[in-house]
Amino acid sequence: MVKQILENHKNEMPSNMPNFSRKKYLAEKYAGKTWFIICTLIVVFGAFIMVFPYLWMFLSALKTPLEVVKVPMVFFPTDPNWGIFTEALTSDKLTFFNSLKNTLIIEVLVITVGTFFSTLCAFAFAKMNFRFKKTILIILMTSMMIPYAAVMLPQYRTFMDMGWVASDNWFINLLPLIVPGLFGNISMTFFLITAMQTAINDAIIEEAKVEGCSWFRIYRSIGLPLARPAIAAQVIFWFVGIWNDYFAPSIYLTNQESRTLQVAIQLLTSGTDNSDMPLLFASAFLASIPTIIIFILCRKMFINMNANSGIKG
Amino acid sequence: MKKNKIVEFCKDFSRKKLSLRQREEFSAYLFVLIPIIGFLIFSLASICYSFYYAFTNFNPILGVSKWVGFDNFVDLFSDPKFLDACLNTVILLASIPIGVTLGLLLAVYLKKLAHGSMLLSLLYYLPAVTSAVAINVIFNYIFKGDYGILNEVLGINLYWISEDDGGLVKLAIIIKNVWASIGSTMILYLSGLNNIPNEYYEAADVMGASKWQQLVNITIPMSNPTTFYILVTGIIGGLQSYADSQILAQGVSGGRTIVYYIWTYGIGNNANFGLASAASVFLALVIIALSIIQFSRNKMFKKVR
Repeated sequence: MVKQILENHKNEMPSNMPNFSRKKYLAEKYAGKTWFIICTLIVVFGAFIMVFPYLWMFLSALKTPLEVVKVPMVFFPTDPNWGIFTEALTSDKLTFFNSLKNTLIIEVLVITVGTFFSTLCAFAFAKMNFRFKKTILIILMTSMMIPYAAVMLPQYRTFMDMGWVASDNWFINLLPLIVPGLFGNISMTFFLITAMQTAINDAIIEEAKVEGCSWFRIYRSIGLPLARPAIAAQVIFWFVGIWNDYFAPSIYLTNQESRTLQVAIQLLTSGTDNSDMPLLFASAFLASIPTIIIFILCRKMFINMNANSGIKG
Repeated sequence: MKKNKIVEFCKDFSRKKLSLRQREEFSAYLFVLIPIIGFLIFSLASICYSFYYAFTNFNPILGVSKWVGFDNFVDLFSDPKFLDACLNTVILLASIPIGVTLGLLLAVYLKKLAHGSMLLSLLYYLPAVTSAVAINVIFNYIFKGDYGILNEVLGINLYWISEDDGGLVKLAIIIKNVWASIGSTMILYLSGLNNIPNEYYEAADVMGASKWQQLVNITIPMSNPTTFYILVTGIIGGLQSYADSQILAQGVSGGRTIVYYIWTYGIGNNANFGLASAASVFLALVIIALSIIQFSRNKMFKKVR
């Protein structure tokens, strides 16, 4: 009787049960190991492919213009030209520091002002009651659906009519990239709404209200400090986004004095002359380093951010 | 009269005469005001103007602007260049399913890994924080016909980026896009996988299901929301690709996308602003439709009451 029951439930038993075939178990375990090793090799090889373009960019930067286009190729530069990185920083073709300055001006203005309004708005949606709240939220949300390509033409015309495109003044040229950002970043607001709802306790706000605090005071003294980690993550994400932004800057920043780093690098590619190629790779490499460092320092933040945008959001 | 009312309200507000409820509401409206103004100018007004321009023959060089009805749309869909651009854009979306498959397999593997998974995920995620310019610059060099490293390593002699072969250009962009997207796909799946209860796998183990069966019957169905999100956002992003056409493909016709088409006629040479606007309106409608599908699945709405 007992044997019969054991027989019936054989398949449901944990693998360490006595009547489990030991040979079969070992064979499965061994097969699993082999598969695991094969997978590991594939993944490590994949990781090498992921890093290879960066490595290739770096090695090619150190080559002479002739070595870069040499057939058959030379993998390692015969005489590494370390001076290329200082050349990238000082070359008139790139105006590295000027471009860096423009990038940073956009970053600082947009992020400080934009974050202020985005967090203020997120706080209102997360913790305050007002009529038409959901309607306003949905209206704001629609702006996330509108692709940039659909609004860029009228904006381009308008900014052109206002004299903000191809102006003689380098700062005025930057305005088309700064002004829209000053009004805040809707996607930042949306992430922060959820973050603030969980991070800020309603009881504290009630207490502050009873004490007679103004809502701005509550936002500044309670909302901002409690949501700081989430805001920091968003700011870093936004920083990287603006740093890497290329499409809009390439449209608006046509003169040399006002272009950003990415635009300056792209302009080096347009020359058919091969002599600029090491310079191009050196500058692209240098411009990639800050975001990669930020990413490595804040890797947990990036990975959580990316993950949250998908399922929980 | 109306102005006086507003002034009175503001005075009441500053004298704290309003009820707490009114104060809260007034402050909240002030707090959301700036983003709403931004929305009205840079989204709503802008897209309305795009629609308006799409129905005119606006030409900034000649300075004419006349209502032409649906002429631009008729021209647009009979323009072989636009149809090519649409086809190119759609073909380039092929990188998404490839990236999704590889990203999922990678995530399944990394989840098993106790050590070193952080380093591996870092390496795979690097392209997500690198600028499109840097990525395209180096891939353009890797795919070069005369002296590109890919040809040398594979022992072939293909002109990947040339006017003659549209297929190879697209293949090059697809390879680059798979390379660039695999890391972020993997991260999304990894957090999705962590939400699958371990009991399912334990039960499957006890039932004697193989690892492959577990992948097909547990992991993939349970990751459906993630897959859906990646596919839709991937398509939305892919429809807007531009740097690939301009930097990697150097503007050869086989790699021109819809946005590149809009850029050429709207900003590049400004000659046919109405046509470019019509193309951008078309693109916007497609993307808005996709976004509505995506947002309708989003739980965000339920959280804000």
